Amino acid sequence: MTGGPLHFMFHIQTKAHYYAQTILVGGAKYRATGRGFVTQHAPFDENFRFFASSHFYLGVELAAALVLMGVFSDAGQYFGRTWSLWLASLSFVAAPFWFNPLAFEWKVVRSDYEGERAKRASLLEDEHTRDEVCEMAVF
Amino acid sequence: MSRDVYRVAQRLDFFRLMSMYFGGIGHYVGNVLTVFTVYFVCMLMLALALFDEETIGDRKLTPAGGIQMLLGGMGLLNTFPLFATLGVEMGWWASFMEVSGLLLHTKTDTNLKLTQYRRLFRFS
Repeated sequence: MTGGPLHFMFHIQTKAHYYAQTILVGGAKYRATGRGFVTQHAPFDENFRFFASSHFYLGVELAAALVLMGVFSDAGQYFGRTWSLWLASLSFVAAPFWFNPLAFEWKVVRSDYEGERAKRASLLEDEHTRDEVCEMAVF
Repeated sequence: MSRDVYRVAQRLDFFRLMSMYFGGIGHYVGNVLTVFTVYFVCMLMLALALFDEETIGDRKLTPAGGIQMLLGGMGLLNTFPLFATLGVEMGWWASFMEVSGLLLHTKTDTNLKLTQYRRLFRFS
């Protein structure tokens, strides 16, 4: 298992997101879709901030919808009807981490975690950002 | 659209125009539609479940056979023209192995190969 379909779906969403954005709000320019051969580990917080609005929110939204549907659906065949949607959701959420080199190296995981925590702490120290985060939490 | 695309489009016959469209801007339109459809299907199924509308008259929404539902999510209708063409070219068993290999082998390059195959066979 090398996770090809995962990468494929993620790639589709990358292109779709930027294309739709360009149609909606303009601003056409070259967007790197990540076809290069990656050999360096990208830190978690960088990955997260780069892909959050384009992939992660959509992936989590799909997953939440599927869980809700699973709770309320009476039609049966839940797996048969939703496996492809689950796969899409999974690829949107997990692909950047799955294809990140050294993602399962324990040391790297720890430094990623520390980096993310430091970033969050520094963001929360800044008063303006804190207000913004609080507003988002209210919504 | 840019000037060079306009000029190329003026000089191509209809089928080559189709080919250019699907290899160029139509590819992106297709991607947007694909993602939108995934989102739409997901939300529609959620809405049907939430509002207890998962019936057609008094029948259930899902057919009795499970295997159809499983295969339905795989986009097999897209693959049949490929299977048919490869079947004539290489023989049915070999083409079956090739197609299922493409679907199951889960390598990025084979997936791209599959997309390329589909495009090639439909528009050449």
